[in-house]
Amino acid sequence: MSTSNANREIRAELAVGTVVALLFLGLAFFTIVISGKSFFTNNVFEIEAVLPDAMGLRRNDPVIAKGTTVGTVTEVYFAEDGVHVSAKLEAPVVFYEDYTIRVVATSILGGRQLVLHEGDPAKPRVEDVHTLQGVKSNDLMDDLSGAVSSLRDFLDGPALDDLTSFSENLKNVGNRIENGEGTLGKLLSSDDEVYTNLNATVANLKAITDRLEAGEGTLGKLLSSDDEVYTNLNATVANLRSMTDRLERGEGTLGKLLSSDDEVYTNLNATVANLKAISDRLEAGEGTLGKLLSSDEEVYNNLNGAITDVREIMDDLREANTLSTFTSVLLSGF
Amino acid sequence: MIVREPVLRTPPRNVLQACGQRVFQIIGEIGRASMICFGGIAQMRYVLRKRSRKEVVRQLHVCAVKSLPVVTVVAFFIGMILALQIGIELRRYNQETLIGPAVMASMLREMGPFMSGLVLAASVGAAMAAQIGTMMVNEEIAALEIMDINPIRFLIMPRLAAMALTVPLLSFYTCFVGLLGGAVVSYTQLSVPWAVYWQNAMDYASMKALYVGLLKAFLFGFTIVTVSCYEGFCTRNGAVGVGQATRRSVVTNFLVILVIGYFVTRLFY
Amino acid sequence: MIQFEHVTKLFGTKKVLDDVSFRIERGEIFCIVGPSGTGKSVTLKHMIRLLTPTSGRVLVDGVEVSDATGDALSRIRSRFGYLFQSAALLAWMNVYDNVALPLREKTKLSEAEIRERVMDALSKVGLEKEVEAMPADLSGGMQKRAGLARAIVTQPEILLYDEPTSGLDPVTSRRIDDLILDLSRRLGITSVMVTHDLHSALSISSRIAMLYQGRIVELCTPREFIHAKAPMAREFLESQYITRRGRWESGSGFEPLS
Repeated sequence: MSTSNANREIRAELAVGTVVALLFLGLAFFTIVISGKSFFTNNVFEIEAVLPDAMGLRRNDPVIAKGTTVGTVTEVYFAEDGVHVSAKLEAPVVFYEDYTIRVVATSILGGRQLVLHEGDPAKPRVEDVHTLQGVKSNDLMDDLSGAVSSLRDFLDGPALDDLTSFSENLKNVGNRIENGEGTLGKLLSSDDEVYTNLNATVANLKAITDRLEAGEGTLGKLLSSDDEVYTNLNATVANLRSMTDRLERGEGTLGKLLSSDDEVYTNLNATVANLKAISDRLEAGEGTLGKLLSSDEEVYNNLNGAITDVREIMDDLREANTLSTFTSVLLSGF
Repeated sequence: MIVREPVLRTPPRNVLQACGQRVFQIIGEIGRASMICFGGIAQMRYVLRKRSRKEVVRQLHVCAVKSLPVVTVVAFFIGMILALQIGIELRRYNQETLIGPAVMASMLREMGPFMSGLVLAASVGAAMAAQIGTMMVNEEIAALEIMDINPIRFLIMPRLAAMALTVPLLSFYTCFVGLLGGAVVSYTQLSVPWAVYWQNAMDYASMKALYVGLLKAFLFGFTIVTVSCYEGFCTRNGAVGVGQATRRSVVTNFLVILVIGYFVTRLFY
Repeated sequence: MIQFEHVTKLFGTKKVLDDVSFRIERGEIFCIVGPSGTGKSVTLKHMIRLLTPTSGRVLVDGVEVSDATGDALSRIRSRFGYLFQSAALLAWMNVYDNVALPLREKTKLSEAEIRERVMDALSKVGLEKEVEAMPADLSGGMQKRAGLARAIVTQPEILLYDEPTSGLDPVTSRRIDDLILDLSRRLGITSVMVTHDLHSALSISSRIAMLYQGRIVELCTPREFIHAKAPMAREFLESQYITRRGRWESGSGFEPLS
């Protein structure tokens, strides 16, 4: 038949059309329907964990172990015993008995990831990776606001009052020494023991104020939401206060010296000038301790600076994360 | 053979048969268009022959040089729009300096090939469909076939070669002009200094984005020619048919560009 | 040379050719006449497989055209020259390039040889002054002549003319007729011509076939055709003021009332 040519052509076209259409359908299936699966990875295994709080963890969020992405979250569903999170891992992660699994914010703007800590290899290995137990995790925002509020508590609370009264007491002592009240003139002449004691006290104070001023360690610990430092500091200041109170009342060595003892007076006579110089410097607000004592403003300012630092750190953090979060938000569409 | 009689089908008896016929028709159309495309690629072996060279250069001129003005304007405004929109959003976070990277990324990855593809589909592609449709109506294609001149080699191959070269080039050009437009808006509207804009943009530019964008543009070049010429070859019914073919070519081209754009993006990201 | 065997062509349900059978001999000038829409061009297009018959066969020198593909089809087609009704010149090339196109594409001739042959063909159709013109700048008649030049430049064995003289002024029409006659006489080219113009058909053809509603109603020599009995043929002849005596007899024209 003469139309066979046309038919042959149409059949060829149908064949090519079918192949091309199937190609695109396959592509569509693999890219749209089962997106998020990788085609060529073989050693994929699943884990499942129960978390007390998913904190907004979603499907396809990354799973991090040892700081690298090892897989993705495949499913998050609510259950009575917590939130069940399934994840596909492409790396051989082995869990030991003290493992932890927690949800961590990737940035302040949002985004979550599941962080796995494998635990100590010395401990026995966890075989069943489908009943892993997650831990309640710290929210970055909560941590930061906790740090800020404990700083505020410190400033508003009794610690500052303690410091204030301590410095006032010390001032009183200095005033009385200057006025030559009691037998302190004698005391100042010669008693190395007392001098060293005093010196040590001053050194201790300096160490404390240095730490306060530098914010080194202390504030870092404050950020980790550890109340210990705060209480320690509080206690230290309280101790100082009670010590100076005792000085006032005439208890202890220094207290007795303040009352009346001529023998000691003569011994201390030689060193009175030294102490006077020290107290002068204290009065003048020289040195670290001096600054601490001169006014509450200074301490406040330093703490304020520390808080500013924290805020700057927060800003840095946000800046760094904004780029990645923003770009990922913007570009995930493409 | 390009010139052929219309395939006549028996009128469908019910909806099911109508759907079946339509499916067969679409598959046949895809097949014919693919064969035109593959045929054109196969004929590329003649691209540097003396008799083809002139036509290829002519098509390059038509595709690239003549669409340069419109591409420039489109790219510039796309860049400005992107920078403005992203800038307004970024200003909320005091991150206006990131406009450069954002514009760079979106231009390189998507907007460059996409916009140049759309512009060329709407201008060059439509012109191709109309021209080939007119040739079909005027029996010029039939004349070529009778003279035993393969229309695929004579008409399609030079266009394929020209577009496969042009779209990536124009895509790159679009990226550049778009970035320029973004820089102008950033400088004037959002007070981001030139140097900061360019420095950030260049820091963010990645080779992968560029290559994937160029690959996309390269594929767009093929699909635009294939779709436009296919629609041209299917033209019937005189001037009305030419109009229909042009319209269909633009619509189909837009769809194909979107679909291909998605798949290529998905395959590489 | 060209043989139609019971060719029937359907466009959908419409029968365009109905059991058409005829045979064209070598060297003939075969004219197909008839009113518009009776399948004249369709018949012509079957000869080079622009159309394929729904049933029946078309043979060229014993080779079935309607089944040929690829190289066989190329070989058959290379023997034909075809003048389209619309001339079908490529719009972006000037007249010279259009005529030179088949030589440049299909032969290995040097540019000088091509030029010689193109100018020869163009001078035959009287277009040697328009070599640089673009097709769009030419009148319909000139386009048709350029198309004819392109058809004859490859020196084919068989020339198919689809309405070669329609739209031409009478003087040019007669020049084209003379050219067709000349080509057949001197080069032995077989010509198949589709036309409405009975004057040219009667003056140059060796045989005339009249198609009416897809059927051949007359197939005879021009002399016999003038005396045809079939009513359609008579009507067709008289519409062009051709009487049985073979001349124009209306005579009086229209005299307006004064």
